[in-house]
Amino acid sequence: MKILGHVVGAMYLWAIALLTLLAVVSGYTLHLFPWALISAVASAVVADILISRFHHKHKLRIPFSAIITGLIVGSVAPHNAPVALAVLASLVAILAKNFVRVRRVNVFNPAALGLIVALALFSMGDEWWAAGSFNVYGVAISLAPILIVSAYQARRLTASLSFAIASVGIAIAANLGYLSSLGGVAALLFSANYYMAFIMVAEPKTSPHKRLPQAVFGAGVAVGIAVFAMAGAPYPSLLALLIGNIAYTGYRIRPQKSVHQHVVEEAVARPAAAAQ
Amino acid sequence: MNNKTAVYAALAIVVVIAAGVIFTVGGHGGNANAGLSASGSTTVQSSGQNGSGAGTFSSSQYAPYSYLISQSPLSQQARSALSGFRLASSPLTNGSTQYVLTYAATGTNQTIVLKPNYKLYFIETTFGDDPFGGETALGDDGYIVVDPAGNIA
Repeated sequence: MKILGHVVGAMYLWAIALLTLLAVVSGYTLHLFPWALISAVASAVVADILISRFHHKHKLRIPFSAIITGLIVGSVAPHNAPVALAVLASLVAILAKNFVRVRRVNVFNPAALGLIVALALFSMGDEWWAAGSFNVYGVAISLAPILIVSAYQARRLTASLSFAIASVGIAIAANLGYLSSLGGVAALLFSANYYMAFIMVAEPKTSPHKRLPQAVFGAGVAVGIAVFAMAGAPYPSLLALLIGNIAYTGYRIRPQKSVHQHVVEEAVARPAAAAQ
Repeated sequence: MNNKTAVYAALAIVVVIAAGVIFTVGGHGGNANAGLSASGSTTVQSSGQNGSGAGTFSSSQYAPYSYLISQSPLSQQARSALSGFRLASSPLTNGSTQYVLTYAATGTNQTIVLKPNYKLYFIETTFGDDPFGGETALGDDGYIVVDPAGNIA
């Protein structure tokens, strides 16, 4: 579809709409005005436009992916984060998006990298406040699973679901001694970080395209978070995702056999097999 | 889902968002009973002044995010909410119960003395910061003491 003369993927619109919806609902129920989120979006947009216009020499266009990056930064940083933290996180994220690339593809999830740098500098934690959970008859229900639409649009459902299933599975295994009813299992099911699953893990440029690698990527990030959390590492979710990004980049640029190489190897192997 | 449907759905959501923003701007601040800090040790005693506290718990902004922790055994959801914290309780001779809530990462603790029939709720607005038994941000954590009449003590 076209917006202001530019072709825009529905994925971007869905992500922006749903992320904003979550932030508004959480902001309303928590009675807070998300200044940090607005600052993050504004700074991400301005930085991306400047880099696009003056460095890449592109025509002026609406930076939808930068809006998404800003929304994620503002939603994951603490709701009371200083504006400077939000701005710094967005700037780092946009710089990473534009310049930290291998073979023209982003290495790191921009928002995750920006957040981990800014949060560490300001000694604050990742709060994920926009993915608020509401106590409904004793079970915390989050609106974040609606983000599945965004993951579907990004064609990363396998990675997202693999992450969610692995997360819930690990949580159940860790709480096995305390689970006395199905309600307990439901509690763990609903407590999974679906914001992470359907937005962060499903980021299309930094996650695999094919299904099997997607499944490995999603489950690997979930296992990484569990390992880091149990080891007491800071920012386990963001850290595991960034390491997953590096692993995927390594997988993406691995030496691959060309069709020519296959033909040559088969031609060499056939007489050798016949001689045996 | 075709592109037109996506656009209409996105527009509908944007309208909802706009309405939400208006409500949010018009929203009012809440009243916190207590928060958890990353440093220091605090002791809090429930006041017991029925009806004169900070309002009715069920109508407070914290009610949807609160999980009862002054019961045994804890529900699984309460256990998940307490991720990153340790809770210990001991009965006192006057019938009250002393609860010690410790932030596992730093060892910082807060002591709450709960009178009989009072309830202690733990606030956790989001579980995204509680990965696998951890707790990465304290900004959305706290506790509320509620008197037998349902008022925030």
